[in-house]
Amino acid sequence: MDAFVIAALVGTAQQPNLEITTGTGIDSLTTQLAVTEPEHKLLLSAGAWALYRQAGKVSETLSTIPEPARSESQAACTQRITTLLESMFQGEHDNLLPEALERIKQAGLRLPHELLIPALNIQDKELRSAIFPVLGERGRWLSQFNPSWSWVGHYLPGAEEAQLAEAESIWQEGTQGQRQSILRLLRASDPTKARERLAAAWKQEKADARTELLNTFTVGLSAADEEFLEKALDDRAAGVRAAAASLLAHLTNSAFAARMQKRADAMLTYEAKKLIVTVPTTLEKDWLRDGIVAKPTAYGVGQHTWWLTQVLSLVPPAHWVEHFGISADKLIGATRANADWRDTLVSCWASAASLHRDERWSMALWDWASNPSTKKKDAAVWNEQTSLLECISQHEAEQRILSLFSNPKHPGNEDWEDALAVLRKPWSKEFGDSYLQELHSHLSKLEFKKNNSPYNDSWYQSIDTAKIALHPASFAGALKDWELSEKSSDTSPSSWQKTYWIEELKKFTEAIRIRQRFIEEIVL
Amino acid sequence: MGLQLTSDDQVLALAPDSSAASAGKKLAQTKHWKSMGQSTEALWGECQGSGKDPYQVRVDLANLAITCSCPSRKLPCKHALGLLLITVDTPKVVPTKEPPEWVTSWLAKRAAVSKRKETKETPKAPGTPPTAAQIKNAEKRVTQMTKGLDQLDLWLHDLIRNGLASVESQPHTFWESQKAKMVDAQMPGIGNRVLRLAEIPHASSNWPEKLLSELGKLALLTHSFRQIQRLEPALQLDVRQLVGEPIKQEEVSTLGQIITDDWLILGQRVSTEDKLRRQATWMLGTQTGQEALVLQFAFGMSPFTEVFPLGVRQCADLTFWPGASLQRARVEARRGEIVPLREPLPGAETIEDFFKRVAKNLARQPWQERFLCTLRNVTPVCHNKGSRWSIRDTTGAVLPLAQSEEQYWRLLALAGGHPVDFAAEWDGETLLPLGMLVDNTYYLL
Repeated sequence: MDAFVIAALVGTAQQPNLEITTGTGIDSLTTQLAVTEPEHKLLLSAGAWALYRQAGKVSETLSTIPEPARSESQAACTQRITTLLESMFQGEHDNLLPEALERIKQAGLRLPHELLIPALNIQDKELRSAIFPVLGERGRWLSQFNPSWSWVGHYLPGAEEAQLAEAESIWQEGTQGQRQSILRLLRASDPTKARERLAAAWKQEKADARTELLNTFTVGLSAADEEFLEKALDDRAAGVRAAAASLLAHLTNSAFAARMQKRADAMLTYEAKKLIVTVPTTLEKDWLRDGIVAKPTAYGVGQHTWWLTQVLSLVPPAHWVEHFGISADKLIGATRANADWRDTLVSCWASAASLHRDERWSMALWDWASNPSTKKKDAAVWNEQTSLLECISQHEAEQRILSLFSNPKHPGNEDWEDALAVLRKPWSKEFGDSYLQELHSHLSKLEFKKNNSPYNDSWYQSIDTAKIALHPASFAGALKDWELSEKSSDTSPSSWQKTYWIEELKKFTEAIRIRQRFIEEIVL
Repeated sequence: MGLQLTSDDQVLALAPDSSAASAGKKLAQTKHWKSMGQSTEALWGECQGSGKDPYQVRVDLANLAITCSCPSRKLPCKHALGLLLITVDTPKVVPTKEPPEWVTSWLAKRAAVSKRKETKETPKAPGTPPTAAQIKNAEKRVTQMTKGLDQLDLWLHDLIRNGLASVESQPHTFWESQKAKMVDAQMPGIGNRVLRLAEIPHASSNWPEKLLSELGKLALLTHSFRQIQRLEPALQLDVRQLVGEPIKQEEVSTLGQIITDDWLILGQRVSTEDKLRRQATWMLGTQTGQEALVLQFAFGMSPFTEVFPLGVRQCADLTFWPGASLQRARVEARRGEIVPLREPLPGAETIEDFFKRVAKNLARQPWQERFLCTLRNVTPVCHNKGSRWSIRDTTGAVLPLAQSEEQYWRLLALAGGHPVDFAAEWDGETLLPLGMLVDNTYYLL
């Protein structure tokens, strides 16, 4: 420590006659001072000394700094697009981000540097997958400095061919996320090689890693994987066992599938146009090995229902048509006579139809439930309506939603906006046009009564989906002026319901206009 | 004169924040405007908002003073930005005509205020002898100050006699009451220096050294003031201002130097103390290399009177407060077009060169605390996951950036580890970033 500081800390009362010299020009100034008190002298010389050092300040040096970012190989998107994206990152119309980012990627463009921070701060996993390809060199470079941006490291940079060429080193040295990505890519191009790679490393992997890596087998799954999966059923980690069981369930000709079918056949019989359910009283050990869980994990579900549900949900529904020799429609209809098991059977078939992506059964279940003679309380299938819809081809699925529009008393009509949300995007032009037409006619009939909340109105709720799903060919129809019914405006011009509707419609046209701008600005 | 702004960028640089900017862009459509007009002195428009009466925007083109009848506290508000954007983009839709009454009356009021200011500032004819009351007041003041200085010296000497270690146990009132005594003795400048000392103990590991430095400089200041006649005339003015003797606007006009230059308006910092907001705008003359600090003060939420577009270049006359080292200034007249900064910043090539300039300024006026720092080709560096930041010049010398709540990720994103031109305020220890030029675009920080 500096002699002046020591003297000042101790106090001149202790050392009144202290002479401090610095060996600089300050000393001669100090001697010229015409002051007598030692305190005053110390203060003035310390002040001069401080200034002397301030004026002679030398900065520290840093010999190395991180490699700078490589120069960009892609062009940034335009200023207009940047402005639009900026407000999306701030939360305005952020549901348009996936489409916007995808278009930027397809055009071979990247985000401008000023948008990298909001982009890297995105928490949503799906959005991150859309952001990664448009980060550019700068974004990937930047992510190394901030721990909360480490997610970038889980993605593989470059084109797929280039990644595959690097497969060996990524598999050996990459992050867990990168290793999953490369294994998934390998599964797509050469499933056998991918399986052998995993098999070779299997014993050294931790339980979580084994589960996650095994899950990549959903890509390119075939009978060739059966042997490996069958072995995994005996894995010491529960997660791996469950993953293996759910993969085996997809292999309809596997020994696993045959065991499940045998169990199912013993539980479900069809006699005299009736479905009869017989559930075993005890659970065999081999059931447990195949991933059947003994204790119900869902609240309020009985043990027998639980066992039945687990087995039946895995068996391809087409099996029953063959096994009992009757059509899907008849089988579904036969559940009506079995009040105890009706709901369970229908929802098991619905899950199974969705698991095996059986479009025929999915449509049969949907149509049965939509039949006016089916009472709503009978139609447990509506709990599964979104997963059924995902198995139905776009055209057929859109037709089914259209019939909901025209039939307001339809049992599935309640919350149809949820079903709408799973339709493939973008909608067909025909469907989009019909939707807009129906929305118009709904608005013309709208009454803003006291207990009429927009939040209970499926049409109001559906607009959020329409914003992102409408086909560009339908945009013109969405951009005309939306008018609310005249009679309502006369009665209560300032009702909050009306304000909500006006706001939502304004946002709707705004969103469509933004999508239009993206199409115009980024030409593919 | 007409509107000196010519591009969207310049208008948007005026926006107080990005939400005002985007709201302004939305209002930049003629359909929102009931009426618009411009003349040589003013630009005006009436924007239909949600209320019954439209909001009235008025712009005084002579100095870009802006007012709007809307309740927003932002200046300029979205309505003003919208009107400016329309005028810049499509000047034809804003007809040139006689301003309506609500504009002319406002302009007249402004003219009257500035005239009143001028009359107030007009120096009294030399030779007019001071009145007896004035002489008496001045004498009384000198007595008060001398008494105050004696008291301060006693206080300082006590501190040093007992040792600085003793301040550890002092309550805040120890400093506050000393400040109050200095204010009573007509030396508010000294008072503020005393109060700032209170923040030093324990704020850093080398606090005794910092405290002693500040106490020493304070002692040098009072010592100089007691024998002010021995100082050069320019430094005498500095010392008077530092002690707290107010320098009158008229003295700035008569003694201050006017410098005409193409000024780079590099950035702004706003700080608040006791509801008083202080806005510091840093400018740099391209021809003279002179730095300028333009201060504005406003109470509470009321807006600052003058609006400075940032990240731009404009020719203007600046009047500098008189003193040995020129820094504080006010804008006397704006002369040219406002042009966004696109060229490399004039500045020091190395940190060593910058320090040499600081040393020169200190030699002229040793109590100066803040300096404009413009550096060429420096690289922003992130240390330890963003907990510390610095900039590094081409020789490897580094200067630390001030600790900040919001970190400097934006600097890193824009510079990408490459050298950039950089502007900041230097407080003797750390840099407070103002802006930087990357790929011919100036970004405010």
